[in-house]
Amino acid sequence: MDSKLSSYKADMILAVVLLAGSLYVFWESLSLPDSPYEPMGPAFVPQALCILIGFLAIVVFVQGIRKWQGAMEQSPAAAETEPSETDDVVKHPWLAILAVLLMFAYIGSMHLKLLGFRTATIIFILLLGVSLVSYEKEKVVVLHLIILLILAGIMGLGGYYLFTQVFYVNLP
Amino acid sequence: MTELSAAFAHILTPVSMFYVILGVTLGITVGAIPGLTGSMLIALTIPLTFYMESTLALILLVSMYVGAVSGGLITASLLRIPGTPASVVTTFDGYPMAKGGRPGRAIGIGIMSSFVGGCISWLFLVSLSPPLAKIALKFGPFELFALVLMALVLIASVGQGSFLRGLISGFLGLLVACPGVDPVLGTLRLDFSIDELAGGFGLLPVLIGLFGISQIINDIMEIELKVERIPLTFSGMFLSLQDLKKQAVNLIRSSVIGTWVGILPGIGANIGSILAYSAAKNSSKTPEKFGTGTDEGVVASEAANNATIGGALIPLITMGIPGSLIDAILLGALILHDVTPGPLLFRDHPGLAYGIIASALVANILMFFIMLGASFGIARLVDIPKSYLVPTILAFCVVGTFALNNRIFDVWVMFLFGLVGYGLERARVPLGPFVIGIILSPIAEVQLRSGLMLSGGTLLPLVTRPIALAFVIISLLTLVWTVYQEMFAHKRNR
Repeated sequence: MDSKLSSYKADMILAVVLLAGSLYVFWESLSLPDSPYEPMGPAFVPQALCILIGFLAIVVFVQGIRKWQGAMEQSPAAAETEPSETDDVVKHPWLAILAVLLMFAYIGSMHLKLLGFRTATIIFILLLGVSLVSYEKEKVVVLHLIILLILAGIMGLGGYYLFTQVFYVNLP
Repeated sequence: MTELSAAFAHILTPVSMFYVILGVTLGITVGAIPGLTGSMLIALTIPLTFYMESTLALILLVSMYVGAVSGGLITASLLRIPGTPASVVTTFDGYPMAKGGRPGRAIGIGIMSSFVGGCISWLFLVSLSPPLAKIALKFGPFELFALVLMALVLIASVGQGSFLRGLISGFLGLLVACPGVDPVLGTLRLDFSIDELAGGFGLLPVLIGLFGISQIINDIMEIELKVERIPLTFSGMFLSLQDLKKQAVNLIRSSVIGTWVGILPGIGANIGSILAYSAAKNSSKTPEKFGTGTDEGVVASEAANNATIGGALIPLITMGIPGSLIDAILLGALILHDVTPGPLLFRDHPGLAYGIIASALVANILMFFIMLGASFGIARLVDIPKSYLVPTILAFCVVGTFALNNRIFDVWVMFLFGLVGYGLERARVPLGPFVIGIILSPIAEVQLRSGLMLSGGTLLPLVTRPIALAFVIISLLTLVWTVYQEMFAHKRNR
């Protein structure tokens, strides 16, 4: 995937998200009442910011399209060979997605009261840790599992004790 | 002076000294480990300080600040990876010096420069803060609004990335602070029918998400990044008086540059070190040696980045305006401890204000000794696998955020802003203006609306009141200059 084009796509996606978000918030702010005591009222600042962000989003979108057109007018091969600044680092987007999903499940399980803090934390650290070790070390061995188990125990059980008994926080 | 002496007497007690040593050590450790940042450490520690007395809490956090900015030197020199953004410039000469067989000298010079930079900026901090606080008491709503505007424009223009994206980031931050209770009327605003949003997005969950979760996602993406560490030796670590004399002018100049950059609201250590490095190179008799491992390069960078700490604390404690990103997080800590930041801090909480000032110096002194003694051990910490660190830190983010208000909603906010922060960085939108925007939005809005009520609905005082006008002029000049530079650079690239 050529790096320069993908940055234009990022510009356009950013612009569309910002524009959509600012339109939505602006629409929500229309129901805010005016203030009888002052000229601005509670809606002014959010509306002004939405207009500014929307305008800047359009500028980013137009800039993105112009750069994309410019890159396509030169030879597309030249655009494809332009290196991105992090081309020498191997990236693992699927691993990051897995981590995000695991985190979502971790928080969700506590929110829905399916699991308590201790169990959820131990499972989360073990699952995420094993996934990461398999990429970082290429092979998961018993030592890695033992270390992860110890870390999971410390955070799950030790963390629970620290926050409930020392800081008096009611963890899930 | 009596309050300052009392503050020092308070700090030099066993409990306070324990927190200073703990803070500096943790700060240096985290600052030295690539992938972890001082802002992450401080944001994660704040929930734990909820149970501490506010002065002790700020002593701990300021000590972490000092340690974190200094710790980046170790990995910058030995791995060519800046442990913190403040140490980016140190890699230019620190790493070549270490690779050329002088790792001890790179670290030793860096530690000495950090110490001197911190001390010189402390002198500015202690001498300028009390009179500035008195001047700030005379600021009216238009002055404060104009100051916030200037802070946003400055950080958008001088920070990383394009000015356009910096502005987007700042405005987004201002907008994110809007949901909740209207600060003037007290009515609900933009709660999207979510009960928990009546209090708005919590500041700390947002900060932990932006600096903790988004950084961790990035670390996971680059989990295979392997680094080769240059072994550290004692040789050349301790500088001679001759060395110090040679670098005296550079040390003082870089420290002053760092201090004044730190004072400018919203701009942090990395900008200070860049400017000091450029100044050192331009003034050097051998500018061609910069980038090859010259002493001057390391001195300039490290003196300046530590000097920004004292400088950045000045607007924080005198006006409640953060001088840098980490100061923005410290502002959050003050709010959490029910302390209203601003010009009244010196009057209402003198112990706390002077405690912050005193801890900056004591932490700087301890940083010097801890860095000298612990660099060997800390350098080895970079070998800790990310696969162990990352899940632990994530779990800590969750429990730390939950502990703030015993609400799972805050954890979801942290998670959401972690994704938002990662997305913004991928889109090359800097996070600095976003954070400054969130922190300063309530101040800006309240001051503007109060000012308009006082002036009968006119913005004229922004130009008729001299201090407000000065801030507005600086903002406009910065805006025009930055836009001009970006357009000029764009035409040159074509």
